[in-house]
Amino acid sequence: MSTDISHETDCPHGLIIESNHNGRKREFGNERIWVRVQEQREQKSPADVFRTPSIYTIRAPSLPMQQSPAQQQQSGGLQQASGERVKEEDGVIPSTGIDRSTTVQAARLFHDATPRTSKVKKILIQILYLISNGENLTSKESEGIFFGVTKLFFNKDLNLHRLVYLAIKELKPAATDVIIVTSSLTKDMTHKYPFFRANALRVLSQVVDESLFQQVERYFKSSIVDKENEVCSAGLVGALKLMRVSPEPVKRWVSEIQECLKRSNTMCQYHAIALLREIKKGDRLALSKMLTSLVRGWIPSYLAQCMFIRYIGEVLHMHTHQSDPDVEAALWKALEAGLSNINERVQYETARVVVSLPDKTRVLQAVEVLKTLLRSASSATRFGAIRTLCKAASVHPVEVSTANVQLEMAVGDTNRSVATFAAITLLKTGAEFFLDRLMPRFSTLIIDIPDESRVEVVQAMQALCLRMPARVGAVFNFLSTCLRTEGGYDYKKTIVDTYLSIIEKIPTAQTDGLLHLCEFIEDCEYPPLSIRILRLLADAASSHSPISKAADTATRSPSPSPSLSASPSAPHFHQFDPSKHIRTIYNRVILEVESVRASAVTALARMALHYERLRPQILTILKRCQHDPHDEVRDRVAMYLRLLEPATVPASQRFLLEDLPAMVARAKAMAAALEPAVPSPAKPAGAAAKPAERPAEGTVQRGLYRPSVVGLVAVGVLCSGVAAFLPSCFLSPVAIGSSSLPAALLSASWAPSLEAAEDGPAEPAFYSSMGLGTLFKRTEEAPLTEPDTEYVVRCTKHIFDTHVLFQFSVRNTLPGQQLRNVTVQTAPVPGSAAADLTPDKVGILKSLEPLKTADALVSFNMRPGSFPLVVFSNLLKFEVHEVDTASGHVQEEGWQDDYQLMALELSILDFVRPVPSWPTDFGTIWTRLEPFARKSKFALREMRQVAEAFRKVRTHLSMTADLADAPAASCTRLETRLAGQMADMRPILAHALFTVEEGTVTMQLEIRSPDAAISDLVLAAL
Amino acid sequence: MTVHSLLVGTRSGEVLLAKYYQELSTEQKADFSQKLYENTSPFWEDAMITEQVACFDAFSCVFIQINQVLIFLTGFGDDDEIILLTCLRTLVEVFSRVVFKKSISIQTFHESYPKASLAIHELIQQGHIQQLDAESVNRILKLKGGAA
Repeated sequence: MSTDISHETDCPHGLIIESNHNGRKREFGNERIWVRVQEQREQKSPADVFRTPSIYTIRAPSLPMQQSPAQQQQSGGLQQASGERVKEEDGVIPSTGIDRSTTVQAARLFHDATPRTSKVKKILIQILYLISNGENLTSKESEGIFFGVTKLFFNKDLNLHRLVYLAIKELKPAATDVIIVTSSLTKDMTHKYPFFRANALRVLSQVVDESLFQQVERYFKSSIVDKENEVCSAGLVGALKLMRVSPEPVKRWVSEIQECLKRSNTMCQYHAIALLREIKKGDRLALSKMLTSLVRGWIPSYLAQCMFIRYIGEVLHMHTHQSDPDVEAALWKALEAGLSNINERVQYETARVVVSLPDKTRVLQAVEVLKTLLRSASSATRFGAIRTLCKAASVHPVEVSTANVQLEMAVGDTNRSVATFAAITLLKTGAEFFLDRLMPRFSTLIIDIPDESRVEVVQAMQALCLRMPARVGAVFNFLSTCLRTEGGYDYKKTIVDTYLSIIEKIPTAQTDGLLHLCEFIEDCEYPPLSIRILRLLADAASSHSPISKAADTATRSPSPSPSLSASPSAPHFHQFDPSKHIRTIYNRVILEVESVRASAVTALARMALHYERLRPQILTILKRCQHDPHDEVRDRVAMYLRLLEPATVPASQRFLLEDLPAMVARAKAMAAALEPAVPSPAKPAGAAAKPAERPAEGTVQRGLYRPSVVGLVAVGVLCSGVAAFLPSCFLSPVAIGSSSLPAALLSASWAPSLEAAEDGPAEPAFYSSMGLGTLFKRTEEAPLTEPDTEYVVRCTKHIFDTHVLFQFSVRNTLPGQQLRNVTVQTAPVPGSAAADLTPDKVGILKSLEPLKTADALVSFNMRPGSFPLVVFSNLLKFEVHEVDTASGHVQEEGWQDDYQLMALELSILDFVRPVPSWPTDFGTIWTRLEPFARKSKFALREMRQVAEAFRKVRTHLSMTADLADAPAASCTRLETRLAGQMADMRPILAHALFTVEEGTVTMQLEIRSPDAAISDLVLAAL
Repeated sequence: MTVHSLLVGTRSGEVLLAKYYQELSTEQKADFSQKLYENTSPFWEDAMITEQVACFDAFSCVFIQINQVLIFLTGFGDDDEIILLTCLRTLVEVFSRVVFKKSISIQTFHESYPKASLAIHELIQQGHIQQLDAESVNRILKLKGGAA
């Protein structure tokens, strides 16, 4: 297959080569490229090319691009190859591509006794090319080729020999096959050419496993002291890899490795210091000792110096109160020397380390160095400096602001990555006058940078706007420019999020913000964003409507209950003129896809409900939509037209100002809001004992009772199914709050009982009857049996101020048995420190029907303020009565039986719960608790992603994190603070740093509580 | 480990050579390559004049465009881009002086594929930078000197 590249004008029937995920065309390098595929006419984007690894070559006259003299110089001043006829040699990749099966077949030639060397080389190269292009050889094919390749070791051709090394590395032979090549490779260790010795070491280090390593260990050790630098260097890099295979032998070579630091070769020093650090990585003391000894010595290699500085940073990060101040002083001295080093790379590395350390005393000095580096001729140095400043600006904005002048210059840098970071840093540190001057430049910059960088700029702009609300006009102008530029979904979503955030927090910006967003949806290519904005418009109408205002006044009550007319998260709009937006919404009904049309119809209906004066016009519009081609839109229109009839409007206004999902969400929120007032949702008095408080038929009680009504509506909707419940909810909303609510639904969910419930375990209705005090925490259910056993038992721990209650949820899975007098015999295991606990009550389960679940309870008295950390043994005891499955008859005669359950533990984390709101004085408490701090590092081997590790650790610790949003899946470093409350109401705080090291998530956790023993226990519990 | 991957490709998305120094599935490699192209494409014009730096996700990437060939050297965000740039410059020097004697272009790349692979093998080893001295690499590629 061959392709032809030309310009758009030259190729009218061509195909667009690049498309983003929305199928929109995109330009690479400001140049539209068209590709005409002669044999296969299909759209092919770079992504497609990568997904279906191609091995075709492009018969390409080069694109007519401007080539500057600088570029010609860059490419070595060599002549352009286009137009020249290039002779094909043996061993090249043929322009017709490589056929995989033919190549694999051809590899059988390796087994011949005297194959032609040139032919063998060509096949080897083609195999390497196939692997490099993502072709996955099957294990059988790989194995066959590998065994063939091993025979080529005996060939005298040196170039072929080198290709064999490459092939063995790429083929990744199985551990059982490696032994075939070990002897050949070890033979090469004595080759007359040092680079063959080096290559043999490299290949060996890559293929060898722990068992074989013992056989070849001596070769690596001797390579480290080899007089040839490249052999030494290869041995050190190989040892770095072998540290992961078998660290112990490598650790014994420390003295030889240290000798390498004295060599004059730059790379040997660099690899030696990296290997030494790898050996001493887990031992802070040994690492600091090694670094201190190097401080006294002299490291000539600038690369090694950089690594040295980086490792100093690691040691200083691990600062504890046991750290030796003399050692730290020496390390700081080395950092100061690094800042004044003549090599800019060492300076940069040092400045980067200094700004990342908690000690702020030398930050200003580091910023000065970074300012100097911003003037460097190397784009990478400028990039590194600006990126470091950008990171530092979040922590040290005052110090970084001293570089504002240099940053302003960097906004115009030829490297746009540098310019982008400069813009973001200025947005973090800059004063208002900077903003005025730079805003036009930001608008130009945003056009030519990738979406990911644009997102960062927009987010920085949002932070700035919230810091300086007076500049909201300038920020909105910038954001509207951003909305008009072409970009991906994430970019546009970030802009819309920014608008919403600003609108919510700065009331004066609402009118302008809404107008900008309305303008955006006129040409918005992303339906989800259009739907969000339409919803925002409807919410704006709800929050500002005369009806809502009247309702809010009427329903003002001591209990905080969210308004029905706008979603709880919706901002309150002070100024809103719906007539300005109806045209925009109607355009969506005409022009957009069905999901947007449906949302537009809903938005119109909600406006009509709120604004009586606009209702006739909106009804006219809605009637026009009755013939919409899509069912969903037509159904909505029909429903809204019915609801907007004069007879049903009053009821509709009360219940249907929103569509269903939002209503259910609100109902849930209200139920949660009610929880403090009603300690137990299953409290009998809550539903059954107060029938007089229910509203009379045909009326809706507002105020205190309203949330309950809506909560019950939500329960009804969730339990009985939306489809079944929806019509009655919509058409007779008034009746739902009264006696028409299914009684069975109420009794099933709310009636307390220790008897077997119909569909599952009863709600914990026993709190009040057992006099347990105030509930502190209820843990997640934990299994005490395997899930597929005869009796499945799970336990929930309820921690009260003076009691501990175990709720054992017992499921009888045997259809032919009824269990009676079911109890769980729970006792601390001998040796447990159970002095603070005394047995209290046991809740016996009188009868457990077949295939049902019910709860047995056991409570203990607990000494107030104590944290009894006890392990309990548990035995399920019951009386078995056989049941005739045909007639359902239960035999009265039964027998006693018991069933051993798993042990149950009260851990320190059971006495910790999240704080209801983030403590504003976290910093003060954190500092105060420093003497009781405990730190540890955990390798979370089962987890691959930081976000997943963060979620699990937060849940396990039962603490509140300071992160507003969940971390992104791609995040590789996360620093977070956590706050919790102990059962004695004292605080417990944590600081966690998640990083990814070689594919494994590592967590550094520091716990601070008012008692060092508690901090230790929490760390131990992890 | 300093280097995540080395990718040599064309502006139209053809991969000429790809070396990943981490175990990745074909799908992961494809996603990475796509992101690499998307995030660097705005800078390709500038990359014809001098090396460019870009960062995306947790990666830092230095790249250059020579004729139709784009060479991307990607490292991890935590590592620094200056050593990556030094490595890229060494690679380009080796390519220019020994591997592609005429010019670095798509066609010469196909012709000199084995030499290019050998040069990369000498420069980067298992994600670690093995050599930064172009002269040493040139000497090794030409099988000159060093015989004990």
